[in-house]
Amino acid sequence: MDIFPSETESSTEAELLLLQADLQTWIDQVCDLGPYSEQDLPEAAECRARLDAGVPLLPGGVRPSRAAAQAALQGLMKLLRRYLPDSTQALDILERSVAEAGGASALLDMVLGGRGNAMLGWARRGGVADDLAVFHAVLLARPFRTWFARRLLRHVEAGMWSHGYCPLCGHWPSLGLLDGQEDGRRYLWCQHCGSQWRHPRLRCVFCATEDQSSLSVYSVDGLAGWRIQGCGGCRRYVKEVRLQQRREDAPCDALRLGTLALDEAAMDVGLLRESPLIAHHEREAPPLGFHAPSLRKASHNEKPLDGPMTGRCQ
Amino acid sequence: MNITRRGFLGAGGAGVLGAAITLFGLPPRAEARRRKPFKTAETKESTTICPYCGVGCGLIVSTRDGKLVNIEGDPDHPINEGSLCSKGMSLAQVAVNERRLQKVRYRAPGSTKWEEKDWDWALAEIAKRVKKTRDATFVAKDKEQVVNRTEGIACLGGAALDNEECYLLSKFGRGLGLIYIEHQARI
Repeated sequence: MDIFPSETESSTEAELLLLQADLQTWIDQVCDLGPYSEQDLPEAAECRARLDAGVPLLPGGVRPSRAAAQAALQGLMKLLRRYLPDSTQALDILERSVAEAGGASALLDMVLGGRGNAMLGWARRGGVADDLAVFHAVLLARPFRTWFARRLLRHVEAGMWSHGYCPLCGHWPSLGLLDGQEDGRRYLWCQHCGSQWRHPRLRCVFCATEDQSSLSVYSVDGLAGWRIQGCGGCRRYVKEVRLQQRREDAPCDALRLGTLALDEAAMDVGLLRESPLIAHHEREAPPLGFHAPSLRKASHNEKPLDGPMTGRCQ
Repeated sequence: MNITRRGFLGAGGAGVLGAAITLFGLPPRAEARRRKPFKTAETKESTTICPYCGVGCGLIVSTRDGKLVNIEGDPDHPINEGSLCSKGMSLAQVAVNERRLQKVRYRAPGSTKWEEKDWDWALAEIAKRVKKTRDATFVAKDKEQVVNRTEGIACLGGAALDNEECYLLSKFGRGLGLIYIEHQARI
């Protein structure tokens, strides 16, 4: 596979792709358990109204079944133990803390409810490292958001959504995919629900500025094909890769994890990473340790594009 | 979980995932910052319109340190949606081309050799010849009608001229009394 940076060792690529496959299998298994009822899905008219208003589709206040939550936790812990063999002790503490806090359902309530600070408070009380807690929490919620993504993204028609945040869950994207088959159109990918959506190339994903003097593209030595788009206004960034052909099932997790050098390079030039815990439409204070994100409302002069909405819809 | 460059690029999946947790979890801790900075190059992207034909395709022009490094079709432009013709695709060569003439070259009538000349000489020579031709072919009146025109000179623009350049060229030609003014923007 030639989409990883050229310096990446083949063994690393293989591991990353294996991890991607395992993640996908785990997500599919949890989705197949039916964590929600079809009645939890909003009506088409409501979806349309939400999209028109720039509000993501994921309904609030809907809780997944306890059985699915527990199965998701077990599957994720198994996966983490496989890929973090040197972190047994940290994972033991994590697993014990989740059990003491009321199990997977309680943790999911916090994460899916957008209560990032509560989640971090729980982690610190239980002695779980912040970084592991955040990573685990974001992943744990993934199959549940994906379940909705697979059913609701069909409402997002071409040209309907061109905001920087995810049309399904409202989180900021983790990756930009420049599609060679579509003359370099940019699609953004959300690590929280796996959605992809089109976004103009020369517009900041986060603050939506189109001031070309504010936007910069950084390339990093040895990482051909990859780049960082940074905004001088809001100082946030998104890393991007040029693909010969973008696919809905592109191994985005592997690509994101295989290019951590770009995140470090972005920080070297003074850019800031957006919080993984805050979604655009949530109004909670930023999680401890993060800079305050701008919770900007959708601007009326943002013109939608005619790109297809993609995702793993059923 | 300390971040090292090897942690990003050289280690196996476990190392990568470990580094990812540290990096994506929260802002990097002090120890994660103790490493050699990556070498980055900043590029500016700006949109413009292709200077060739009248279709008006959108372009994204990339510059680094003020120098052109890439031109590609603008995928968000409503006219071309990122596509470019072969001329548009090779547009960067207009600006960056070692075969592009940098100095004035002159071949005298009947000569088979090119001579290098400076701009002062060239501009004075052009002005002299334009004036000579204009004066020789100037028509002040057509019957009793004042026309003040010259039919001895034609002006042919280039497809790579932009709107403002075409305006100036037209203004210049009209000032001399030219009536054959052409801009090749229909290809």
